[in-house]
Amino acid sequence: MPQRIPCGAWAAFLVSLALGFGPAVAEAATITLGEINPLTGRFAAHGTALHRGVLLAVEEANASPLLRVTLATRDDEGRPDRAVAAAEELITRLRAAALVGGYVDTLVGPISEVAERHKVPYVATASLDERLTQRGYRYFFRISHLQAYVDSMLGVVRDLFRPRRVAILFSATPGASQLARRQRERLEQAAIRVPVFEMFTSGMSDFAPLLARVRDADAEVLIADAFFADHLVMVRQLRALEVNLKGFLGAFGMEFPEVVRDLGPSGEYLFGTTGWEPGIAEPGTEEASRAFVAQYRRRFGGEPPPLAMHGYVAARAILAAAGRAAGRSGEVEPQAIRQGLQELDLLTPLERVQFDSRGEATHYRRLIVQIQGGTRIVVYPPDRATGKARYPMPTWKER
Amino acid sequence: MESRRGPRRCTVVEAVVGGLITGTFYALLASGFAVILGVTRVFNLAHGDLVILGAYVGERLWHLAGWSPILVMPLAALPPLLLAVASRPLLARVGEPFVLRSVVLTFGASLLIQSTLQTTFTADFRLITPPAWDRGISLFGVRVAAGRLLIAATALIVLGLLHLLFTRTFFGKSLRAVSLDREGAALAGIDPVRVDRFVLGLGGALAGAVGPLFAAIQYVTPSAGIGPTLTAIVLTIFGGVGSIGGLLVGGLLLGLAESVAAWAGGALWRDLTGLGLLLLVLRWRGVGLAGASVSAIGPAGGRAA
Repeated sequence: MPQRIPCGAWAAFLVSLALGFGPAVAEAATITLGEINPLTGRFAAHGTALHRGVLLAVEEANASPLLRVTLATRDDEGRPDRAVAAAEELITRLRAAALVGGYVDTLVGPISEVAERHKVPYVATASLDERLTQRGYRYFFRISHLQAYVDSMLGVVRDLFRPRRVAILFSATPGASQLARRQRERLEQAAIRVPVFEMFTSGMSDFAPLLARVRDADAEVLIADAFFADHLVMVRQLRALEVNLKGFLGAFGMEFPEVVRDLGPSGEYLFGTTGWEPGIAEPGTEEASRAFVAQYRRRFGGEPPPLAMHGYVAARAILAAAGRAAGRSGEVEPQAIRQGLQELDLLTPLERVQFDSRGEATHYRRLIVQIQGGTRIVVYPPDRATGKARYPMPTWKER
Repeated sequence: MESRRGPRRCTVVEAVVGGLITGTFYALLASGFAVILGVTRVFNLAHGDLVILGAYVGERLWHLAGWSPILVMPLAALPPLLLAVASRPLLARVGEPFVLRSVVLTFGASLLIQSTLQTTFTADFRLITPPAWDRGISLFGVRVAAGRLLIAATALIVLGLLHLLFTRTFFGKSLRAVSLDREGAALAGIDPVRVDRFVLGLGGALAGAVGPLFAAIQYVTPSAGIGPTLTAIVLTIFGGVGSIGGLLVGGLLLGLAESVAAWAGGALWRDLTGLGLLLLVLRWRGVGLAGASVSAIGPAGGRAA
């Protein structure tokens, strides 16, 4: 016989509901995350990779019951004016509690100014310019920095290559120019001559005159502080002109799968830098790295480009910081996220994310990889090396 | 182990040879723009985007079928040709000032093509890399990439055929007549509408055909058209509107100046030298290297209508 509930009990239950003393149901905190990336224009490939990483981080966060994230994405088209307009709109109209994204410092810089003015934390996904963290901004954070490139590239040159003469060709962007200047300073301090130090406009189709200078200066190693597409054109011309170097070290984008695919055998023995790529992850995060790769493949098809991890880690940093503040209120406030970012200590496949008082990532590192047999092997620093560097490269005729 | 220094010590000659090869390609790159501007007065800001469209078609055919960039040129020319011809009814509605309004119209077309390319081919970088094209061969004692030499040879052949078309055929003469005096040509029995359609198609096809060659020396993205468009504009001003010979001479001079400047002073001098040379020529001749008198097609008068 069914048990009857006394009328008094029903009345007490309804009164308690009306007064808001209902059964305890955990309400997820909410956050609007604003993302600005170049999804069209000349940086579209990079921006799309960053965006996909951000998207995966948001989907992961929304799968947990603690946080409800609304992602508002804006395309800056690779134009600073659009980036500024997007940041203003996201903060003032959509009430974004934090901003994420940005590729190249000419876009990151203007976004960071808007974010600082409105006191909204901004985590840049790909930024190098040293000046950006020297402004005393309190709301600017980034997961990468120039020093990591300087340390790893100069380390491998000094410790493994030990050349007498090094040529540096660099792209005319703020980050690449600063990197080249730091490299030249450090090389000269180490008594290594830099007879060729040339800036070029990214996207050049003919590097022959510059490569002739590199050859005529008897440079043993060429450091190319350039983006991956420039590496492709440059290396093809090195082969055609038979400029025989002992080592080629590219700064940005050498970890892209297209380098191996498009260069084929000409890509063998080239050195480059990487922060993360499938199969290369921060120790202790291998499982998380594999899960990210699997999720990326399921969601978008194909292998995740390294920049996808940058997007993922930057967004995860914000969401982890928001998660720390989630218990305090329904809608997470920018101030709480900033505080959370400042106190963050998060292990990710790219790096252990911690920020110093300037917003600089304290543990960000670049590894040196070499293409050997069509795959990239970590050869430097020694504590992360998975193989031995093949140096010097054979001449083009010997291949 | 072989000496790492290899063959060398003739770097000025290298810079000159490299510059001439690049210049020949520049002339071909600009030919479609120059032909359309010379006859129809359409200032085609979508020219570079048509080149990139051809480049994508070429890259796909090379990637899927393994065809040489030169073999895929006719197929790569087809979509830009059709697009250019299809634009004629739109251009016919454009009022005065025609050139300025054609700039606005083709700028819109440029954005539309870029957006379609990104949707269709994604934003990934594309490059055509036939292994044989990366091999070096000796020319006048200097090393040159085989692919670049093939591109220069192809460019010379196409430019030569264009020159013959405009100067030695009746149809070419009718194009010149329309460009010089549209109404007079119509009275003489030449159909200006047919001429416009042909020239737009020819210009579009030239732009598309250059695409696979462009992708063989430079990476391609949906927004990469701005570079070819600027080169075409500079070179058309440089060589004189509508002249194939002027275009070739201008291209050779521009390529040469850029290459020697880059070799002697560094890469940043390359762009400055090109633009400086352009200003000098305009100051000196006012109408470009070829000027009006030797224009094969005619400097003014016509418009798509």
